[in-house]
Amino acid sequence: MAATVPATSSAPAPAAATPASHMAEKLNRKPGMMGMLAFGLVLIIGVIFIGYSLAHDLGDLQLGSALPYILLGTALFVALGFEFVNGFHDTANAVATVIYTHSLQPHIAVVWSGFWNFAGVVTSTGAVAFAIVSLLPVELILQVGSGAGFAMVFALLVAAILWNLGTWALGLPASSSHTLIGSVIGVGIANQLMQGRSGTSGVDWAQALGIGKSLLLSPIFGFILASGLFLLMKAVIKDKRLYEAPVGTEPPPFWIRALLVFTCTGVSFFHGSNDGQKGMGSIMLILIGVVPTTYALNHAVTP
Amino acid sequence: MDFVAVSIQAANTLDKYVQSSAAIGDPREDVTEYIRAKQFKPNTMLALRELVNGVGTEMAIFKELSKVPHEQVRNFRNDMYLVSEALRLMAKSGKPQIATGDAAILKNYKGHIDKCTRFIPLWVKVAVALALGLGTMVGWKRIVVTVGEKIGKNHLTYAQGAAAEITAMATIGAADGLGLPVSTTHVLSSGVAGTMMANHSGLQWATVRNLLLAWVLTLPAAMTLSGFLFFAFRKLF
Repeated sequence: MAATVPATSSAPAPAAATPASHMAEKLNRKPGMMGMLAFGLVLIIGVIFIGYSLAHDLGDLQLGSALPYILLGTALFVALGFEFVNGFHDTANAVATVIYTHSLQPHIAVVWSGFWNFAGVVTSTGAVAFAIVSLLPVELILQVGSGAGFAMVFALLVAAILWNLGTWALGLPASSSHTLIGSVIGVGIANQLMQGRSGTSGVDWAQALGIGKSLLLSPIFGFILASGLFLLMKAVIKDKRLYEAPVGTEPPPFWIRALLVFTCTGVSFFHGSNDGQKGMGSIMLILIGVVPTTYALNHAVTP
Repeated sequence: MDFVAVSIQAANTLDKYVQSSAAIGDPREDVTEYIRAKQFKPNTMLALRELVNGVGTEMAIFKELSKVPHEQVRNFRNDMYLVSEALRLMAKSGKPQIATGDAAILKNYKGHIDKCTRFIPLWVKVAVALALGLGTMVGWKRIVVTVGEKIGKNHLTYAQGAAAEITAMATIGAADGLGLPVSTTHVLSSGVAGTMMANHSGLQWATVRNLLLAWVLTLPAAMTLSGFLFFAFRKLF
């Protein structure tokens, strides 16, 4: 269904209609066959690599029953499910502006962002992952292979998944970082209460306060900075085209377009690095708990 | 072996700070308690020194991490975890005061310990990357539509898009550098709102209200959910 824009029209089209219908058409277009195939290929290669590595790691292990394997499988599934749901929220940060300014086609933007997310994850050091682990109650970390340890990991992940899914279903941009930190604190408090201690001891309240402050300040900071930046642009850059809504599907002037694509790349990369590490921290806890012989200590290192 | 030498050096350094009033208890319990409650007691330093000695001795016996017997892996790792965490907390809190030279020795030692316990196999990174990437490609539309169409009353202009996105990128960069957890999600949506205000474009208050709700509710909601689930799972497992 082609959009019919009159070739020569000096009168502006009704303000809301044309941009909205163009955008709706763009967003609803399905990715092409080539795109799907390429994507499927990457997925298959990835899964084979993972399966092979896991089999190799667990190769010499003689675990008594099937139970550890089932537990491992379930826990991994949940942890990866958490990352999957995380992904829904994250893309918007990187691609919303790029799509709405027609700097990139939606599906290209999403794939581009997905690729840089991937790169960010693979190149991350794991420092953030372990920082999150150290927020959890130390007694549970020490007994991560026990029922209590698994309760901790599952509670953490499932709570975060539920909240992420819920806010996504309602179209609300919620913060996955704060969701996870909330889950971690919640587990810490619940653990304290169950042991008969007051809920407040054992939680690192200095840390929690710092997070609360950043939660409060970051949107205000974003609001002020972006509006300030916009006003600055208006004062300095006089190109009228920049301050109009896109006409049809026309992309912005080259330098702005490049800038937008660049920031999209940067946001995707950093976000991949950051958010990937949340999943990694959880998965490492699971691996250490279920198969400590293989994963509790770094065999590759000669101390 | 390098590790054993570093370990002995660390134990000797810690020894300088052990007070004569300290009493020997269970090193593991004492250090665990310190990490849990964050209260440094005279016994803590002694316990820490004992743990460091213990780890060093065991390492001298095992020689390679891959040769640690199955039954002992968990305890060995736990001891190293405790030592690393205790050192981290001591350095962060500044209690007790450690001389700069000594602090450097301990930091070096902690680095060795962390190499043994902190690692992430490549397949884990790949699995996580795939899951994240898949998620980004599947559910993106909903939130993108909210950010692009439902915040401001008018369509996003090129300049607004640029201002909001530059703000988002600058903020993550700064946050990363300062080690602060900021929410890119909130920064972006409020950035878009900011540019809308600056442009006198007007905001869709229904959406803004929902954004504020999500912003305010996320921490308590996640805390409650996970706490509740933890209770439930403890009963089950």
